[in-house]
Amino acid sequence: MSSEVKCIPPSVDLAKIPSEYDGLWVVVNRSNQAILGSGDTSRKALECSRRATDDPTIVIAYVPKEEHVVLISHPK
Amino acid sequence: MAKWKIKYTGRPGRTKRPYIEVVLRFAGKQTPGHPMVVDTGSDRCMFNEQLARDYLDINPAMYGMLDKATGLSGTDDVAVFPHLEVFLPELKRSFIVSAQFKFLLFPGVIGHEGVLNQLKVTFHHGEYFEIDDSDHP
Repeated sequence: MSSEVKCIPPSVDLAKIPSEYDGLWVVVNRSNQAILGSGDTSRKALECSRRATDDPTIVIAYVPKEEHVVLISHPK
Repeated sequence: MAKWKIKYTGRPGRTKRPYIEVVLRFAGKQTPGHPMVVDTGSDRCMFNEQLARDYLDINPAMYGMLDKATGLSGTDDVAVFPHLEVFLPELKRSFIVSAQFKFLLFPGVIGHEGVLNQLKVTFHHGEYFEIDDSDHP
């Protein structure tokens, strides 16, 4: 039996965030991608936005500024 | 609904990556949603320790089990919480994972143990990835 495929955009479109936010955490309105606050930690960005932790309309993203990232985690 | 197709995203002119939104839950507390990279190179899920301190009221360095994680840059100490809930809002599914916490510049990565080994994930690099949860009851 085939299942329906649900196509969804990324919750934050990193391509649309201005470069002035590179290296910062940003609170983004999920529906229109508006930036509601920023900071150098997730919590500071949330406080800047004055939104609640459990507000389902927001997402908090880190805006990467490095060109390439390699992270491999193996439990030892 | 058991299949999702999610577009890659990334900074202009740079590598696009597969991100999925993640909420961490522990003892009645939770983080806001944070997009995290789906990392097939990681055995385990690894998260930014600041998220644990700021939202879950736990200090991983003080209360987690000490463990080691090995990457390309060598071996690091990590704090492990064996029963952390990883909720993926887009899938409306939760996973209980043995999560590693350490200092990271970004929110974290979703690895194999507890999450990716529960799903069928197919990558169409730079474009989109598909998650097939058809076998989940």
